[in-house]
Amino acid sequence: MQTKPVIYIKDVYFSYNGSIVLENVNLTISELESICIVGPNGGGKTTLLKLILGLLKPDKGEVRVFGRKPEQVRLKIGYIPQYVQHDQQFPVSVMDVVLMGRLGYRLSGLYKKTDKVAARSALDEVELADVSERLFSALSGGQKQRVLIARALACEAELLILDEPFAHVDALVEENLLDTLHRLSTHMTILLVTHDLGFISKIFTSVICVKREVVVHPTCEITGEIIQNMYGKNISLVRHDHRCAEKGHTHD
Amino acid sequence: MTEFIAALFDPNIPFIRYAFIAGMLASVAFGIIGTYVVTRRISYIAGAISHCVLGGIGLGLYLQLKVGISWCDPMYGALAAALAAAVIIGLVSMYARQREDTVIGALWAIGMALGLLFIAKTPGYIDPMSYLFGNILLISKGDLWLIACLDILIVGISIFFYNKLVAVCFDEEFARMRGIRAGAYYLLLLCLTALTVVLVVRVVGIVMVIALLTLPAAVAGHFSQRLWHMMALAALFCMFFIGTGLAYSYSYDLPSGPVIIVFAGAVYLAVILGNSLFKRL
Repeated sequence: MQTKPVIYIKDVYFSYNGSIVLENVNLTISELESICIVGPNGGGKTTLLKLILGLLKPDKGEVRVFGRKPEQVRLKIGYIPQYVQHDQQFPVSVMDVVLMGRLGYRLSGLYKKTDKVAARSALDEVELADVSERLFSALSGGQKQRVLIARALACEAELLILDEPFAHVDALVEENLLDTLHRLSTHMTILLVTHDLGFISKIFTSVICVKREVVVHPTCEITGEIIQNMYGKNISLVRHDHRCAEKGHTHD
Repeated sequence: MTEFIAALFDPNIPFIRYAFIAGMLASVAFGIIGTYVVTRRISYIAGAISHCVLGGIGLGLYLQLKVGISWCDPMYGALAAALAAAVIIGLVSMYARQREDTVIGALWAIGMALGLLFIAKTPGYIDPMSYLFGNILLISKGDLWLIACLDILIVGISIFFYNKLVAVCFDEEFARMRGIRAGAYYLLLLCLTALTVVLVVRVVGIVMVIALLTLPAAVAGHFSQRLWHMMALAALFCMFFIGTGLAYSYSYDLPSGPVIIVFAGAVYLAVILGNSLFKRL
């Protein structure tokens, strides 16, 4: 029997206040794929994510996650937002934030021992076990990002969705995050959004370009021409692995 | 201060004792809900709810004295108006694509206007001042029971749903992703805020509600690492502010509400200044 696609999108259209953001989107993502979604600002990347998460409804077309409506399978999805719009002085510990990943359909909001065990192992996974009792707002940007990943891991999700996880972190943290993702990619389907083409790394099996329309490319086929078509300007690729580089190794 | 303590135990002036007990009991609710109001940044919603309370009080008085429905106490009107305002603001912010602050401002003023109109049309002289600026010394023994029940309700709900409410306040979108009905919890929070606001109105009056809800929590926030620490500390600070305020207002023959608020404000300022000085050292 063939495995069901994790994400299946057919003929989807979406508009905000009458202006079309996404049109004619068709997309199938299978289990254990690691996908990188790229595209210019305002191209509809985050909208596509929100459609997959069920936070937005398509005007037309069909979105299925694990074969069902997104809002029915939310507990299987670990979502890592671009940033948390929280009160900067919100008094909450790292452990508390990770534990939020354990809030499910249970009526009461009290945590059990198994929840704490799961939260602790999620913190181990992102190597932050030693700061678990620290105040969340006292952490650095990169650490916060890893806490949010741990929170998503604590959900025991099968699909991990990251929205611009590298927006506020330096190169070293980015390396660590990519390593973590690489490890996770062996047992989870991963979807990562970035506007920065430098992240088209070999850990991803395919790249999805979003600019009103959605085009899927295997990572190796990404060329300067595709990028230029998408962004409309002369943009150079930063080389991350030998197979996919184009135009040499430039940083500008 | 000693004369205030003596007055507390004087059997001939029970209203001082009632005021003090009411203040202590209500502080528990103020601390918990005030913490949510401060961290979720809805103090202006609390302000709008409190001003709508005047509309409810006015309607209550009108029905009681003009229409002749004798059981219709202004407090029921206040409760109904507060809950209605909370639900309207909650639904508007969730569903209607309106600017939330515009709606809050409109409700704020309309609630007051309706209240004044109802009072104007109610026979007899009613001084809106005691509602606007409160008078904790008017609290009766029956009110104490009401406050105690409300405390139990608020503490119970806050403990039972603590983690979910924290998650909704901290990151609503993620909470929704975990299958939590964030909208319902937000409405629950607003309704609890409304109930608390009615209590605060009894203590310091409509105009000063925001201060007594936010200042203790804001002070507590400087010393807290967890939300429940902040709640407990805020409740203690609130008790301290109300107790001290009452004592001073008794000793110097001043209206209690403003004394409580000025004292709370002074402590808040001192904590902010002390904190920034401490950080520079």
